[in-house]
Amino acid sequence: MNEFLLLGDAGSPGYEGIFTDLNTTFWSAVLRISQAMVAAAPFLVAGVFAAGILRGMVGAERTRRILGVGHWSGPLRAWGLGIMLPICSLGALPVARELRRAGVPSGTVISFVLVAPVLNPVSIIYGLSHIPPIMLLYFAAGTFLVSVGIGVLWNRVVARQHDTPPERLESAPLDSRHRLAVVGHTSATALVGPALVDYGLALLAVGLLGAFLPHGALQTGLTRDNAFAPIVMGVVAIPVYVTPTEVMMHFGNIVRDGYSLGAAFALIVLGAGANVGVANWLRRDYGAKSLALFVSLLIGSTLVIGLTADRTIIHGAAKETDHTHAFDPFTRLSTVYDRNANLNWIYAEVQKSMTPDRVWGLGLLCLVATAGIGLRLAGKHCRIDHLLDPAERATCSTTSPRWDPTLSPLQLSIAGIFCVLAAAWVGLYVFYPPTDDLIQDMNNIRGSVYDAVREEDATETSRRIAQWRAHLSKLSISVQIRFGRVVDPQRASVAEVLYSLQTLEEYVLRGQFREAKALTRYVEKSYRTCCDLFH
Amino acid sequence: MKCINVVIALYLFAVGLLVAGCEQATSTVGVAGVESLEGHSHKHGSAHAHAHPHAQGSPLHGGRIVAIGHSHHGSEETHYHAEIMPIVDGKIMFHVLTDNKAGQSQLVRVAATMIEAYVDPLDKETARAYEVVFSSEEHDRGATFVATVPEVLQDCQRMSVVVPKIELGGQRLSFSFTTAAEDAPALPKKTTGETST
Repeated sequence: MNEFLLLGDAGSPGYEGIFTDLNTTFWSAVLRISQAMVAAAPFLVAGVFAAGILRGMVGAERTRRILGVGHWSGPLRAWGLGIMLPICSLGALPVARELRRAGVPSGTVISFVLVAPVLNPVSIIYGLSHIPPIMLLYFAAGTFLVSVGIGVLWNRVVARQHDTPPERLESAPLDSRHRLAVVGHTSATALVGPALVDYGLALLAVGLLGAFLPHGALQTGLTRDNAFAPIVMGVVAIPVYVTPTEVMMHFGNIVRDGYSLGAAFALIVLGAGANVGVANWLRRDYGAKSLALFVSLLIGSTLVIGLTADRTIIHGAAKETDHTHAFDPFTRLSTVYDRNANLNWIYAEVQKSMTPDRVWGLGLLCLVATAGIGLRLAGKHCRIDHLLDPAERATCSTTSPRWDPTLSPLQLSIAGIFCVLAAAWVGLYVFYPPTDDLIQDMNNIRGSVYDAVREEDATETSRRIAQWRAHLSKLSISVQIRFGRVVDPQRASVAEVLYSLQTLEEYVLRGQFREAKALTRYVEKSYRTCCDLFH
Repeated sequence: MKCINVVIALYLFAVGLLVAGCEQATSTVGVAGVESLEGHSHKHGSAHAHAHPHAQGSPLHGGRIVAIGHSHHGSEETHYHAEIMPIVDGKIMFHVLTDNKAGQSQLVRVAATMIEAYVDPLDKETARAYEVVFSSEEHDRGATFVATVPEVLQDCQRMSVVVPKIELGGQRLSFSFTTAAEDAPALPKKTTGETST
């Protein structure tokens, strides 16, 4: 029964005052909701714009063709579309709505909704900088099985009976201004339409978890030898909202610290892939019975793959006595003091997590939401339905004005190439993080290396040194791409730290721990010099 | 359709570049070795793993021989040893040697005039290392290095010394040894704590 105690360790400080300390309960919830909203902003904006583009530029007919409506390969194609769009589980909802409007079967839509928030260009690049590629590949395959498998089954069992064909198949306008109008209108209204309830429910679940999941409840027990670790994480992950980048960071921490891979997989699929909003959408459109089928399929397949990972991949040196702070952001705060129980404190806390992408995302989100509210209030005065009428398209002139020329395939290809290169350039910056971030990560790993040497644990030392080395090898490239030049002393200092780590590892592998402990001073000295040169 | 193919190919190429880029690590020269009386086997950081016996060398100054490692020059190998002298007047001393073609020991001139090392008192149960610097007895390219035992360790009779880096024949090598004061009980001929890399 010890395996379950991590959720029921009533003696730990995290459980004190859980029903009596209302300050902590309420303000923890407010903080978690605010943090989730800020983190979701860039991905949610990407989601509503993707929905607008699907409706206004791609068009229903082409969307149906791309996703193979009427063909068994629909969920497979949806998986392919999902890994190309950088959206989160909340951002997937407006896209899902547009796919359904185009008459795409619901199973195919579910495949898309489950995979897009987990595997997309941003999360893959981010993941590669935190997780060994082979591990990422394994979990990509797992996600493929879960999302495509559920999609295929749903299409066979539920979609055939419950899916209703669209009343009118829309057609994307030919005129560019009309297209932009449809994109803008769809994007803006997507934020304040029926999906608003789904967003609200997802955030409410995050708040409830932040209010009532005791602080420290997930710090211990999620180790590989605990068969219940994936189940416990699964229970927690369902109401959790995690962005694609955050989930990769958590996944990287779990892999790095040697915790349960099954728990990591449960967090990815159930935390990042699905949320309460998705469940509410399915309940609304297909009823409680179909929702129960979806939930059981999702949890069942995730746990099977998660448990298999824990039993097949030899990984995980974390012991029951170890603890991690990787999951603290999902839980209640330890204490919110009276002086902090106000919105100013929430603002200051959220401000700490603000990055440029979140600032831009939040700004755009506010802008789009305001436009959406305005359009809703304007009602039929600002409708765009007539622009999507196939009859309208037939009467539209195909000549283009000079300022909006029709592009040839070659021009489109060149534009595409530039876009891809720009995306690769952005990816490069994500993959090679700023030096301060790298140094922060290395500081954490360094402590673990010294601990492992002190505890005379050769396996753990080697594993941690490998992580340190991987971070170190990014340092010079990170400076090169940001400042254009790496000076020789910087390169030499990196080489010196790498050499010191290699020497330390050799002594450890030979079992000469006394010498290895002495060598940690040499490693520390080399590392300090390196940090000074890169700061 | 062709346009999509081109874009996908470029996208994969860009991702491939990123993945390849992450695996590039600065190479370090060094060997990991386990010493035996006959020789040692080791895996070079750069490419190959092999075992090769070599002479232990003979002391020139009445000290104890500890292997340091070897460097490659084409198909030739040069083996290096340190001759460890007992602690006298609070000073630790070693000479750097190699074998000539006849297998006899001879001094090796080392380019560095200062060599960093870490000293750990074996008299104490818990390990605590102190940094010392070995200085060349000669002004330039010396073969004999001396370090003063830190003041806090003046009472210690036995010490473990780790030299993390000494450049010989273009290779960065590391070795460790134990040493004792002259009046301390004799050290065993071979101690487990003496290795080279």
